[in-house]
Amino acid sequence: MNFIIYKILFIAKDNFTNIIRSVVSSFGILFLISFFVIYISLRDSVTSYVKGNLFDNLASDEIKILPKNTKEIEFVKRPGSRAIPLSTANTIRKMPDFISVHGVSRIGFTLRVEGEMLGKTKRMYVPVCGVDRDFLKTRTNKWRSFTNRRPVPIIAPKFSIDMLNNYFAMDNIDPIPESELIGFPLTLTFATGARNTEERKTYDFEAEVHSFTDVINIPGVIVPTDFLKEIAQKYYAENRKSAGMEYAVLFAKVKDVDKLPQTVEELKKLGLNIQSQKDVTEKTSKAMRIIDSFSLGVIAIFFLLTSISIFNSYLTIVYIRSKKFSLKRILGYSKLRILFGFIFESACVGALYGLAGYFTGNMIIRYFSVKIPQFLPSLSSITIAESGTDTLFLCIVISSAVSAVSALIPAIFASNINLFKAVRR
Amino acid sequence: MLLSVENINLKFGKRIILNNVSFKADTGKIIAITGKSGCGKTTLLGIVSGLLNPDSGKVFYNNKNILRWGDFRKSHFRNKEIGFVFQFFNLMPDMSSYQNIIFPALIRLFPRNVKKELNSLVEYLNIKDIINHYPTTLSGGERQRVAIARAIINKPKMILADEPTGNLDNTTAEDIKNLFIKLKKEENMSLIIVTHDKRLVEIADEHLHLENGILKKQSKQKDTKKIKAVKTVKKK
Repeated sequence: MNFIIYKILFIAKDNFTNIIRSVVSSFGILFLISFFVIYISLRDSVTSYVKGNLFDNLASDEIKILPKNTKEIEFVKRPGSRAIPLSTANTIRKMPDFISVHGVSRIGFTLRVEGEMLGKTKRMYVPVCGVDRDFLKTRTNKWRSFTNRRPVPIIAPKFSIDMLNNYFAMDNIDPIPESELIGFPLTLTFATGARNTEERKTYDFEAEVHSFTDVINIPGVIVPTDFLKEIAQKYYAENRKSAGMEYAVLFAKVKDVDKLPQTVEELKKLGLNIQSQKDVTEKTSKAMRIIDSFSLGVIAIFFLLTSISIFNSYLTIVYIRSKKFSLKRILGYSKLRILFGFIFESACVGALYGLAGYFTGNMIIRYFSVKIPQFLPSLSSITIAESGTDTLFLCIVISSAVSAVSALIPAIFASNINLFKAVRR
Repeated sequence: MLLSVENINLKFGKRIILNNVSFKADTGKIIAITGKSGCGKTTLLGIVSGLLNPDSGKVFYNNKNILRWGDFRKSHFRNKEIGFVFQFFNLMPDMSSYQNIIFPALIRLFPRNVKKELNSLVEYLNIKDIINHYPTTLSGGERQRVAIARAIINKPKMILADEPTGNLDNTTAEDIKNLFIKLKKEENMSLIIVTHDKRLVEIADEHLHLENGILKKQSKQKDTKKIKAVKTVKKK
């Protein structure tokens, strides 16, 4: 038994020594894997960015209905901006082809949000949109409490937490975590018409922070659609004028996916622009194609250079160790044992570089995720996240495979070496 | 019969290396193979050990043709049944004498404990003081004794020695010669020695001479006369 343990230790020591000696041979894999990690991370970031900007990912039975000649959703009402009128929205809702129709509504009023903290009052104008409670079902856990009530629940974008904490930092106040901001009281002031004119009307409401979101990508606050309708009705009752309530976008779930083309045709006849999962996929894949073709090109070059360098290094190692291999063969090693020993050694070296490459790649990502927004502010909304442990596993497997495959031909040379020539050298 | 080599033919390109070579080796016998450098003596050892395949012919070991075996079986045969001794010792430089000696025993999947054999070998070959030394710190004679210990650790039935005294001084070569006689008598091992050394030819039970690919049996009488003649010339 002790002798078997001695054998295991002996082989482990021999392999360890060989791995350490040949560790430089696969250095190129470090670059290959680092770039691979950056590529995976960048790909994920861009995918989520594209999908996020297209206002959430559509299911296969879901379509996005936009106003005519509009490709992107206009959450903020500006002069000349297009929208789906309430009447058209009602027509769509009545169509038998849909299970449900939810929209993002907007109103022709400005909104000023006012909040007070530590004796200081902050006021700011922000865009406002309305969404149905049911629309949130698949997008947030707290959807049930998002109803038209007092204080009015508002959903703010996640980046507003950072904005708020930046304000606090200017006043030497410690940052406040998201959980403590939930329920924070605010005053909403809706206004229409120019200041100091008869047309000027204002409506004040008590509100509270309901939640923060980074799933629904609206550059302002979200309130229940019913609440916006209530203001619109109130305004109409008082002034006999429309409050400009309309929909920026509608999301509809179809009953029968097979009938989707006919349904889309019908909606197009109403002068609407329709996007389905296919469109989202096309847009995403277009962006991905550019990233993929560039990255895969670079990876292919790295792969080629790495493989050639490993191949050459291991060929040299075979030459240097040819005497040892021959001696082992003469003393009783089989060809397969030499072959597998060599491949195992190169796979271990590859695994080490896979590990190192993963951490190097993540380190580079960490550095650039901070630096990119500084150099290119337009890309600040892209969050480049570090790769997870599943990528680590993939890196180790890929680098081991690359190293082992590159060392395969040298390993075959090693196992077929001219034994007597080698031991006489 | 332990080993029977029958009608071995081998060509490298157009050059005939071995031409219908046949010989037999029995247990407890020493066979010396002589011949000019490059005449194919080592190649013949390679064929006998299953490391090289001839163009035609048979090599029977215990009545089994080893040339028909696969690589795995041949490797096992080399490990268990044969011990190799080389002119340049061929010890692993990164292993101590102890590790070098037990290395063939470790090759087996489930190695048997060879500590007993090792201890008796250490006494037998007088290498106790150098057992933990590395090959680079040893003299030629010491290295060859370690190499012989490695060759016989698995208790093989046959030793194949390729010019074992070719790189040693006279005294050490004499020691190695005596050791071979001891192995033959006490361990009943069969030795096939490729050599230019007359002293080793002298102790052989059979002397074979390889010339132009043909292996010829030399008579012991002829050898003795030759050696005496050399000695007389030296005295004069």
